[in-house]
Amino acid sequence: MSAALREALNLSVFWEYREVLLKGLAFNFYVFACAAAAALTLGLGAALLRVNRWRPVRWAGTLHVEIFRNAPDYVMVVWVHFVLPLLLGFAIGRRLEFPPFLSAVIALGLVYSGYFAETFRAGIQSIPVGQIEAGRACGMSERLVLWRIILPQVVRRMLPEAVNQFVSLFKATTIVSLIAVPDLMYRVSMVTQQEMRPLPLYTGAALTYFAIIFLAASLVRAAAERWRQKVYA
Amino acid sequence: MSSIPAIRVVDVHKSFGPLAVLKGVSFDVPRGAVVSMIGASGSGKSTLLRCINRLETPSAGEIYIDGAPMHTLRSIAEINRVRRDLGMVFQQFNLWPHMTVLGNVLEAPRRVRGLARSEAAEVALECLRRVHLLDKADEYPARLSGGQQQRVAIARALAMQPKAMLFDEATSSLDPELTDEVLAVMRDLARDGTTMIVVTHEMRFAREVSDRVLFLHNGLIEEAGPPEEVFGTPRSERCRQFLSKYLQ
Repeated sequence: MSAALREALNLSVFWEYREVLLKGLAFNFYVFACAAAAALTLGLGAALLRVNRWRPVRWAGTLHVEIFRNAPDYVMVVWVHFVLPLLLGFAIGRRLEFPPFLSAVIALGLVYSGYFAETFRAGIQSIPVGQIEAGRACGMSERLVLWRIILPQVVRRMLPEAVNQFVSLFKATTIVSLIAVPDLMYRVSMVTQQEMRPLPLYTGAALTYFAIIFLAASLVRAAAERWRQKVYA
Repeated sequence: MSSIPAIRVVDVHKSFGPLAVLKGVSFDVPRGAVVSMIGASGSGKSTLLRCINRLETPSAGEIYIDGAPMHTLRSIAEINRVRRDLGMVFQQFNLWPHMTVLGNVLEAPRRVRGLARSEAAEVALECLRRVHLLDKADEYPARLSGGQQQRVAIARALAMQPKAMLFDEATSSLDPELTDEVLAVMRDLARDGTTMIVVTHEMRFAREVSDRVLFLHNGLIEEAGPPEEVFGTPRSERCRQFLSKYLQ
């Protein structure tokens, strides 16, 4: 084993700084949770526009999806942090600045809302129209039909696809260090500057991310499969 | 008993673009009566049924539910209020697969009528008893046979305690042996005095259970009368031809 490889696999320095690094990881979770909430809300909204009966409304939904699904998250994070406040500031006539955390949440929320919108749309359109008519025939309002009949099924059907998107979103939180959100990657680079030992620190970060994503995704997939077997057996 | 019919349909037209499906249909359904609609596929039976509870909006004409005009209602909220009084049973059952049998039946009483869960469950269990499925309350629809699913759908419609029940080819997607169990439940309902409009291809059922039979052809009522007349001495040649195919 080469000295460099031995150095890369010696995680003692990662362990030594575990407290400060874990605090960074917490930021990844905060960004993830807030961006996921934003992406799900905006994505559901865009999906409902996409299945609206009025064509111009559908176009508005499509525009949202195409813009944000095709925007690289790296570019969006930078653009939202540095350019969006200038644009909005210009519009309202005063200087505006976003805290890095907010910029990260907005950027990732917008990008992933494009993906979630398409997942929601496919899910909504997969519900047989007869089930919706059965709800209407019972006197259920459109809102009740959406919340009680469509969405519970959509959520379960889209789970496998959504897990992949959540995984991507969590991975994408590693780029927020770019605008100085003090996440795990940001702190790893800080510690690296101090200790000058990048290899074990980045290996430690990689293993940490892998373990978290692997565990969480496996758990959600297993739960989704158990539900599917119970209901659609 | 009031003389106002449970359902009154007056000169109803319905077109889909250039295609005229209903060309002026009128009839009354007195309270407690069973009216069967027969006719070839595409004659407009199902569209007429769907116009009655506004799953389709008629192009012209008048529809009254218990004397109240349905055709003048514009807002969804108003339409929904009238729909509560019309139980509908579909050819494809259309149960909600993510809810148990009990969940399917108590959903509308709970969310639409606003009953407490225990109250709604009580109503739902009574309806399940009427369709002989009390023992399946906790199953999911996917575990039931087609006939059982359709009986759950009937219980779901009954749970809203509707003024009339609309059956849209309720047995058409069932095997013959499963058809009988659904028809038996529908016979029970008719015997209990439920007002029913039944779109069906089950001629024996229409003949034995109905108070009145309508034969639709090409968007018009071609023949109407008591079953013994329509089946025994039909005046229209088309009705005769149609029935001869079924009664052979």
